[in-house]
Order: sequence, then C-alpha cells, then structure tokens
Amino acid sequence: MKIEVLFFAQLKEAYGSGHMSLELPSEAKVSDAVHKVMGEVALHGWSGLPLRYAINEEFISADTTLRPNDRLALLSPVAGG
Amino acid sequence: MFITDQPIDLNAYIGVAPGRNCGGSAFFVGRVRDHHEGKRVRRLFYECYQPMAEKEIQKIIESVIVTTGAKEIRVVHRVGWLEVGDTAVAISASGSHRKEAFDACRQVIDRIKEDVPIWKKEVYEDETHDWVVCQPNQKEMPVCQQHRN
Repeated sequence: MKIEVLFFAQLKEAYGSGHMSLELPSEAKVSDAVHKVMGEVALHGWSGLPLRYAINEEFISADTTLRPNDRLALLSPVAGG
Repeated sequence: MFITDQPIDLNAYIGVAPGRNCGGSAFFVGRVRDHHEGKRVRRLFYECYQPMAEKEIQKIIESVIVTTGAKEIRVVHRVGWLEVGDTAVAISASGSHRKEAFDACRQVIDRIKEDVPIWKKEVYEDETHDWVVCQPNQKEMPVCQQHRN
C-alpha cells in the first residue's frame, strides 16, 4: 500500500522536502514506516530526535496499523507560544 | 482560525469585550525576545502543520473550558518570519471570576507549548540557526532547549 509521510521543521530541512510517498506492505504499522523513513541517508543525523506521530491530523501511537493513503506526520518536539 | 501569518493587532484583540456573564478576563501575550540560552536572537521562523494545529487548539480550548469553568477563550498564533518584539501568540480567557480566567489562560499557553504542532527556528546574530525543542519537565512546565544535529 502507499501512504504519504509529512515532515516539518528540522526533518523537512534535512530531507529537503515536506513530504514523501512511501510504499509499505499491507498491515504495516506506524513504527514500520518510521523505521523505513528514518533510514533515509538525509535523516540519519536526526535518529535520536524524539518523535510523535499523527495520522490524518490526529495523534496516534507507533503501534497503530496504517491504511492505504494515510497521511502520516512525523512530529518533532513542538515549540509554539 | 487560530493561526495567522499576519501581524497580531493587540489593541483590536484585547478590545473585544467578553459576554456579560464574564466578570474577569486574563490575557497572555508572547513576544519574540532577543536572546535564548546566552545567544543573541535576530529573528524567528514559526512553522506550523496548520490543519492539525487548528484542530488541536480547538480541542485545548474546549478541554480548558471544562476543567476551569472559564466562559470564553480566544487564541491567535502567528507563523512565518517574526522580528524581535513581534507578538507571536495572544490568548484571552474570561470567566465569571478572575480565578477561572487566570487558570484558563495559563493552561492554554502551557498546552499549546506541549501539543500544538508549531515549531520555532531561532536565527542568531551570526546567521546560524537552531530549532528550539520544548519538552515538559518534572514541574510540567515546558523547558525549551536548542537541538542541533
């Protein structure tokens, strides 16, 4: 199945784009997607960054099962305010 | 809409009167300061996952109204490039009495710093930059640090 991954802030800068199309086996979990994405050479420097995840704009856990066409956001620590 | 890329007009913001059932209002204004952890800050860039940020701020407002008893809460957060002294965020909270207003105002800004997908890049005098990382500490207050790869 295909999903879209969204990057922001330092991950977006490092990857050079705010999104990536990702092909995964059906029943893949968020953790599988994150493992694959963070394996990108451009993102190696950020492997220790604590991340939260959102699917379709809602926080979810790493063991959530993905569905085709999900929009998975990788959220580094926020700093609004 | 809680997110804007336009300057925040504080006079207009504070000038909006709450409902007649509100006897107290508290305001919080966050501005860009000129330093962070010993470095001179020249300007900031706020990046935002806007669809999710709008939803999260709405959830925070609804939740804080329940927990504090506040009657009205308004929030506006600016994104994009900001200069030192610019207003980054404004919050107004109103309730029957001052306690609800103060409590609500404090809770809203604390939760924005923890849960709303907005990121801050500081640019320093030497034009280097860092993305600021805020995480709750033991006192449940966000602690902001620089994080560089």
